[in-house]
Amino acid sequence: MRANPSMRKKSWIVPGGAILVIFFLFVLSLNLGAVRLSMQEIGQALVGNGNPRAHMVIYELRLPRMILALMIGACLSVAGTIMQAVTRNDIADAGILGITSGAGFGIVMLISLTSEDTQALDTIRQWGTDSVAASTAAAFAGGAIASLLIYALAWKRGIAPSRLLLVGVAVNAVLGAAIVVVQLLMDKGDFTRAAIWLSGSIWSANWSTVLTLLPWIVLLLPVVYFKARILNLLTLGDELALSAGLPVERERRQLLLIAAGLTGAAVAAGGGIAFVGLLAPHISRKLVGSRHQLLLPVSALIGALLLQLSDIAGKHLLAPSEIPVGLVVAIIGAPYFIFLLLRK
Amino acid sequence: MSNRPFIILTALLAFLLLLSACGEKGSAPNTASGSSASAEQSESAAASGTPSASAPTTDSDQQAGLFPKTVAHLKGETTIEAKPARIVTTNFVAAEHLIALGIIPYGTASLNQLGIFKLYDEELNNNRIADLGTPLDYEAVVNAAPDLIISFDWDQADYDKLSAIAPTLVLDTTKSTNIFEETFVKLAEAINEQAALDAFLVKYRETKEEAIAALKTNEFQGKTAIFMMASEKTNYLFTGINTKVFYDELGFKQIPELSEAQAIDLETLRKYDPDVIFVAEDYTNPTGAVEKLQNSAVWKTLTAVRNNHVYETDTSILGPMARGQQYALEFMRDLEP
Repeated sequence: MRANPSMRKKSWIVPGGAILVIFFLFVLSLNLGAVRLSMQEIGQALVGNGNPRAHMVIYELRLPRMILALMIGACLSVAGTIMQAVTRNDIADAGILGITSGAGFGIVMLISLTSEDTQALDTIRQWGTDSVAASTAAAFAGGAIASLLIYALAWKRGIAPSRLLLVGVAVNAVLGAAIVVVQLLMDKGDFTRAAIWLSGSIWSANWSTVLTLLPWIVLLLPVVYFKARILNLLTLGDELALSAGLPVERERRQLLLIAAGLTGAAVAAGGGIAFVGLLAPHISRKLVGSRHQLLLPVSALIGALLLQLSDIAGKHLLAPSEIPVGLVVAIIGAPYFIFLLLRK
Repeated sequence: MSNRPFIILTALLAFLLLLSACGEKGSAPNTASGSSASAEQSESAAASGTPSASAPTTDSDQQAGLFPKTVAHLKGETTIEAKPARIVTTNFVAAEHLIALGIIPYGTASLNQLGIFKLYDEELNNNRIADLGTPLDYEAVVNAAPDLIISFDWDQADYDKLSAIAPTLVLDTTKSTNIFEETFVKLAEAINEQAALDAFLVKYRETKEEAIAALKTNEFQGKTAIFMMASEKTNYLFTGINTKVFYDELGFKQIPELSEAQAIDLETLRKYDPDVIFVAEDYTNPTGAVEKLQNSAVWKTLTAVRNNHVYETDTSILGPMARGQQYALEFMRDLEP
C-alpha cells in the first residue's frame, strides 16, 4: 500500500523533532563547561574568528566530545535495532548478546599484548593502544569473533532466534569473566588502562577518535538502511522470510557482522556503554512503529540524543568530577525497563 | 545464490579498517613553549584572582641560566620559559610530589584522594588548591591558566589537549625500579628544585639509616612480614615495588609463596602465619574492615597477633608518595617491639 501524503508527513515528525532536540542540546552543550564563553565568543570561534582560548575550548574540548557522543549513540542504537530484528526479541542488543563484551575483550587483549612486560611483536607494540586505529581493529576483531562464536554455537540445522539470544547471553557471561581474568593478570598500569577503556566514558574524546569512527558510520549505516526490507522480513519469522525469497541465514550472518562492526567501533571510541542499543530501538518503535525504513534512522537519532543527553548530565551534574556516560545511561535505562515491565 | 554481497561486505569492512588507520591525526609537535591561549589565560587569571602557588618568577633564575629550560619527557621535549608559578597536575601523586618539595600546586585532578591522608592536612587546610575534577576536567585546566602542567604516563591524560593549554611534562613511571624516588627526582630536576630535592633526600636517607638501626636493635630484621589492606570484600596484599624498601633495605623477610599474591584470605594468612603484620584500612572505601578482621577468631590465633606484632597504619606507607615514604621510614623507626 502506498503511503498517502498525510502518512508521509507524519513519518517526518518524529525524526524532524529528534533532529531539532539534538540541535538544541548541541547549542546548549556548546555553552556549558568550566570555561565561561559568551555567545559572541562561541559564534566567532565557530566561524574561525574567535580568540585562541575560545577556539581551543570549542574545537579541542567541546566539539569532538559532542560529536563523538552523537556518533557512538547512533552506532549502538542501530546495532541494537539489528540485534532485535535478527533475534526477534525486544531485549536483545549488542551488549546482552556478548558483542560488546567481545569488543571489550579484544581491547583488553591488545593492552595485554602491548604491555611493557610481555614479548609482543614490535609492530603491535609500536601501533599500541595509543593508536585509536589499533583499538578499533581490536574491538572489531573481538566483536566479530564473538558474533561468529555465538552464531556457531547457536547453529542447529539453522538458527532459532531464541537460541541465538540464549547463546549470546551465555557467551556474554563467559567473555565478561574472561575480561576480568585477563585484567587480574595485568600489572597496575595496564589494569588502569583497561579499566578506563571499559568504563564507558568519552572523557578522552578528540578529533582522532571522531575521524576513526567516521568511516564506520558513513559506510555501514547506509548499508544497514538498504537492508531495511530484509530486517522487516526477518521480524516476520524465518518461514515467511524464506517464502519471500530471502536467504535467511546468509542475511543473518551479514547483519551480525555489521552489528559487530558498529559495536566494535563504538566500544573502541567510548568503551562499554550499555543500554543505548536496548533503549533507543524500544523508544523508536513506540514512536514510529516497526518498519525499519523509518525505525533505523529514528533509532539512530534517538540513540544519538540519548547519549548526548547522558553525556551532558554526566559531565555537568557533579562538576568538576564526572559521572561516566555509561553509568548515566544505565540510571536512565533501568527505571524505563521497570516501567515497561510494570505496564505489561 | 551468489555470495557477491558478502564478499563486498567483507571487502568494505577491510576498507574501513584501513580508513581508520588513515583517519588518525599525526602526533602533536614535540616542543611547546607556551601557547597563545595560555598567554591570554594568564592575563585574565592575573586579573581575576591570586593564585595559591608560591615561587614567583625571579630574574635570578633567568640570570643563573636555569631558565628557559628544555626538558625531555615521555611525549617529547617541552621548553619551560621561566620558573613556573602556577603548576597544575593531572593526578594527586604529582601534586603530592610538589608538596613534598615545598610547592603548593595551583590545581590537581583527584584532589579528594590527597585529602584522604592526614599527611597533607596542613597544606590542604591552609591553601586553596583548585580541584580539576575526577577524571581530569580539561576546561578546569584552561580556567586555572597554568604555566606548567605535570602529568604521569598512567593517568592517560590527552597530551595534545594539555600541551595546547600550557607547557606539559609527561613523566614516565613504567621503568621505575622503586616506588617513588626516580619519578620524584625527575620532577624536581625538571622544575629546578634541586635544593628542596636535596633537603628531602638527605632527610629521607638519614631516616632510613635510623629505621634500619632501630629494626636491628628491636630484632625485627629477618622476621617475616606482610603488608595488607583490609577492605569489605577482600584483603589486598602489597608486594613488589610497593614493599621493596621494607624487604630489601629495612630487613624484613618476605614469604616467598606470597611474593606475587595480590590478595590474601584468613586461611592463607593462617597457613603462612607471618611474624609481623602491617594492616591498613581500604582508603578508597573505609568500612571498618580492620576492626572486623581483628574480631575474627582465626585472626586471634595468628603468631603476630599473639605477640603483639600487628601494626595498624595507613596506605600512604605503601604508595608512591614522597611524604608517604618518609612517613613509612619514621613509622618503622618508631615501631614498638
